[in-house]
Amino acid sequence: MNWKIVFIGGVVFYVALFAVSMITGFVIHSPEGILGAVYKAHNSFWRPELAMDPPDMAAMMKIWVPSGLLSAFLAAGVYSVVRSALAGAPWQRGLKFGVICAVFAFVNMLGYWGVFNLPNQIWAWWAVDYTILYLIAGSVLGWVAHKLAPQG
Amino acid sequence: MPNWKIAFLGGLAYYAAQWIVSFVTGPLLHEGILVEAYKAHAQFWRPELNQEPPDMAALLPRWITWGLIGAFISAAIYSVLRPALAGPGWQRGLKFGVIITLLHGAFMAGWSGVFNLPDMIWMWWWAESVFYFLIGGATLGWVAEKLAPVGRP
Repeated sequence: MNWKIVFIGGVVFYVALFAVSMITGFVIHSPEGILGAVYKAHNSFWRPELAMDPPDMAAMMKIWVPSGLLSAFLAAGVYSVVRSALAGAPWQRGLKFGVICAVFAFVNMLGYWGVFNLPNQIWAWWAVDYTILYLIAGSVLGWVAHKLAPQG
Repeated sequence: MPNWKIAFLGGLAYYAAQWIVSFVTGPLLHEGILVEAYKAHAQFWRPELNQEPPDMAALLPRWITWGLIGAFISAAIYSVLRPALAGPGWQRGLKFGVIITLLHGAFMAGWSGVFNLPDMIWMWWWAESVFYFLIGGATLGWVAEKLAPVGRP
């Protein structure tokens, strides 16, 4: 495990995810977005802060930012361990890691899809969302990780 | 490129190991510790799960099909990543299980940030996943080494 990649790479990975989510959040998740009406129809599923009109995003950020950062450190730590098994230029290794993260997120989602009573439309758009997020953030992580600790 | 023997046969072994673990965790968690929490959040679950008793026969075809697809995909990823993990087959697999457990925890942190379910449910689900992934991962690593030893084409 390379701790420079864990912490600096993790912050960069998180910032990339956050930046891209500004676009996908607006297009997919906002009240005017693709899923806005579907979210309203399933209000009882969401945390009370999200079910408000408008949603209390400031309250949610207090939960999302710490857990997102912790998750990004974990992901960057995993990348520092497995990157030697991935071939190509640094950004390409990162992109492949992004593909792996997206695939694992999909497998993880299948479990919830099997028990939660939510429409397929929500799961499908969430899959589109995190695929975009992980591919871009993974490439950025790969590039930064190589700058921090080039692979021999 | 993934090793397809590991993806399919290893994936099958990975799935079978998790299936066996679920015979212990299922009654303990889902028909025991979490029953009251599930009842208090009945609106979350598919209608088949809210029946009395739950109509498991209706859900199992979906769960098995997608569980197997998920296992094949996970085993294919393992076949790509295992050269980066040291130790005998089962240890490499166990480390892969640790990686999936960590990533699964990260994804779960995301879901718990939007779904209005109590922390108790998320904690027990994660605890269960630790057993699934560590035992499934070690089994996958052992089987993968039998099918295609690392370092040999």
